[in-house]
Formats: sequence, C-alpha cells, structure tokens
Amino acid sequence: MKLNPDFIVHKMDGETVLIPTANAPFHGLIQGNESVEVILECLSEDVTQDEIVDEMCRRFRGDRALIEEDVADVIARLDSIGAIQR
Amino acid sequence: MNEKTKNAVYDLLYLLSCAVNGEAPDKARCEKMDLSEVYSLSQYHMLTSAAAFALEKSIELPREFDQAKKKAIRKLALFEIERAKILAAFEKNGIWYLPLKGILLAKTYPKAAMREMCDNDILCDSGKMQDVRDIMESMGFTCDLFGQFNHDVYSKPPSIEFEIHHNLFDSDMPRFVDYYTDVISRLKKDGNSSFGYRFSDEDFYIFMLCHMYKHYINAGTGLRSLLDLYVFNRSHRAKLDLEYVAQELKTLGIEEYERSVRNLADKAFGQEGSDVSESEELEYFVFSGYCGTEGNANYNYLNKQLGGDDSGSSKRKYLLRRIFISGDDLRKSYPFFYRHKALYPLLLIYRPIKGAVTHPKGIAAECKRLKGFKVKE
Repeated sequence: MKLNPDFIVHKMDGETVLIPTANAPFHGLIQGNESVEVILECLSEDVTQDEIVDEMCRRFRGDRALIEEDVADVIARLDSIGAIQR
Repeated sequence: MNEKTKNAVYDLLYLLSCAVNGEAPDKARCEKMDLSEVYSLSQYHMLTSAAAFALEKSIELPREFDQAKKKAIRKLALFEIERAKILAAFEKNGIWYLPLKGILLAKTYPKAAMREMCDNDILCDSGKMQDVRDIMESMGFTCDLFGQFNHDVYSKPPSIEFEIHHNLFDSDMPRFVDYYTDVISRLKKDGNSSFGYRFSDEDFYIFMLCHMYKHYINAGTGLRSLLDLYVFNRSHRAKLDLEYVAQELKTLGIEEYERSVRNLADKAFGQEGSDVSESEELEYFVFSGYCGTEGNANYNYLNKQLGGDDSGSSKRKYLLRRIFISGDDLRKSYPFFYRHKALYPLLLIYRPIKGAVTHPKGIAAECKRLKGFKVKE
C-alpha cells in the first residue's frame, strides 16, 4: 500500500499536515504528530503494514504490540478518507 | 457603531492581540463573548483563523472557528505547494520574480496560518507575461484575466488563485507608479535562487504601506491590514533604517498616513491592552472589511474625480468627462477606439445606446450618486 497521490504531505509551522487536493475524495485536513509523520513518510513508497511497524520500532522506543495498534489505527483512519492506495 | 458591534470589535481586537503576542486570553472573558458576533466580524475581515488560535488556548474551540482554522491551514499548504512548483518553473525559464504581500507577511506571524489569504501575489518580468501564462496554463491554471490591469489572474480548484503582477501599481496611482519605475533596481537577489528577488525589510515596509494606502483611499481596507502592520513592526521595527523609511514615505506623500495607522495598530493590538477609544479611523477599518466596500469605493472615487468639490459646476465637468471618455479610461475600457481614434465619434453614439440596453439601472444609480454627492466634513 502507499499514499494516494491526490493527498500531499506538507510541513508547516513545525507540524506535518496531509492535504487533499481537488481530486481527493476527502475535503478536510489531517494534522499529525511525529509518529504520523513517520507513517506518512513510509507511505511515500509501496510498503506493508509490518514494514511501517518495523520502521516505527527503529525510530521510537516502545512495546511493539502497542506500536502495531497505533499504526493500525492511523492506517484505518487514512483508509477511511481514501488516502491509501492498495 | 451599535453596542453589539462595539463589543464584538473589542473582543476580536483582544483575541487578535493575544494571538500575535503569544498570550492565552482570559477564560472568563472568552466565555462571556458573543462568539457568533465575533465570528461574523472575524469572517468579514479574514481573521477567524487568528482568533481561533487565541481562543483554543482558553476554551473549547467552537466548531465554526475550528473549521476556519483548518481551512486556513489547508489553503496555506496548498499555496505553498503550488507556489514552489510555479517558482521552480520561473527559475527554469529564466523569469525573474518577487513574491509579495501575504506570502511574506505570513512568516512574520507566530503561526503562518493565522494570516489568511485569498490569493498569492507575485511580481514578474513584465516582458515575459505570455511565457508566464503558458507556464501557469500548463500547470492546470485557468487564466481569468490577462493584459488589462497591472496584474493577470490565474485560478485552479480548490479556490487557489495567483495574481501575477507586471507592475506593482496601476495607472490610477501615478505617484506610486513613478516611484516603482524600474523596480528591479530597488530589489535584492534572494540568495537561494537565480531569478528570485526580495525587498529589503525597509522597502518591504514601504511597499506594504503604499499598498495599504491604495486600498484605504479607494474601497477601504480592513483590520487584517492593520494587524499586518502591527505584526511587521513588532518583529522588524527595531532593526529598520527609520531615517530612510521616513524619507521615502515623505517622497511618496504618505508619511502622515503611516504614522496615523501605525499608532492605531499599536493601540488596537499592543500588549498594554486594546486602548482604542471612540476612533473614526478604527470605524473606517472595521466597516471596510478585508476587501473594502462599494460605498467607500463610490464615495472615494467621486471625491477624487471632483477634486473634493461637490458644486454643480464640478459635477457637470465630471459628467462631460464621463461622456467624452479619454486617456487611460478609454485605453482600458475601449482599447479598439483608443487604437483607432478616427472612429471615436462612433463611440459617442455606441456607448449611450449600449448603456441604455445593457445596464440602464447602473447608469441611473450613478447619476443618482453624483446628484446626491456631498463631501464629508
């Protein structure tokens, strides 16, 4: 899976935001913390959910099971707005 | 100003002051505000996002403020993304450019998204406007206006608009046009690019005042321009060459104007509190909104055309100039007859007939305005 090209990741005011363009099925705004930033970075290429979890475990300290849950939650939210391409 | 509006004005000024000075507004005061009035007023001035940034520090943000803030963030991001592509294309094609106004002012705010904007303004090499048009259209922009005024307009969904300027001012501001002839001699190279330019901070401030003044004497200008002035001075004034700035403002004839609006901005947004007593000047800003009003534009236009003289003879002379259109007005409105002056008598027949058919009410309204025009004391 990867990020739908109709969504653009942009950094401003020190925050990462996910911006839907005119063609996107969603017309709002996603603002994220550091972990969302890493997940979006991973999704710039075709990756599996496990690969994203591996990268998150490399960058952040924490229980793998909890990280898996967080990643699954973010992916589900991005999926629900059409931001994921499979 | 009625009491409801006055309270909304003072509450909005308070929130904006908190936003740009990095303070949390008093929670009890926020809870007493008529937030629907504050919201309406902030929308009229494109300041809802800035107010939201302040409010959210003290209370749960009402939905409409939250939506406005998110919309501002989204729009700003889209502008930044599109602008990066456009300027990269200008670099590739050797077109010099100068980003203007809101593009740079947003960076002086504590959060760029506090500074809402409906378009991005860029000055370009006036000899390359067709090349610019080709670039913009190749990027999916629609050209909405080309070659008529001092800027061309390009738009793209969702509501992204770029104004590409050939000149900084149009012929209706001759003093400013003269000052900015050969504008590139006043610019510095932007170190990060080959064809990008910037003003010095002093010259940016001077241009900001000129632009603000232009709107002020026409349709009016709102609280956002006053806030821009405050924010810029707060972050830059201590480092400016004030002697140079004063000299240039004097050359431009707006030294008094700058002093007056700067003082008003300091009183409205300064950390000492919004100490703005009954102020006619503030009222003018409040009722103008971010794009001015038709009422202001009509009054200021007539006042300028009549030279501040509302006598019958002055009005008759103006009417004759309107009927026997010439000069710049002819060039802009009827370029064909401007180029073929031998056919001008035909225009004198064509115009009244066209007017009577296409906009008789507009003509009647203009005549009524002229008849009833009185210079304000």
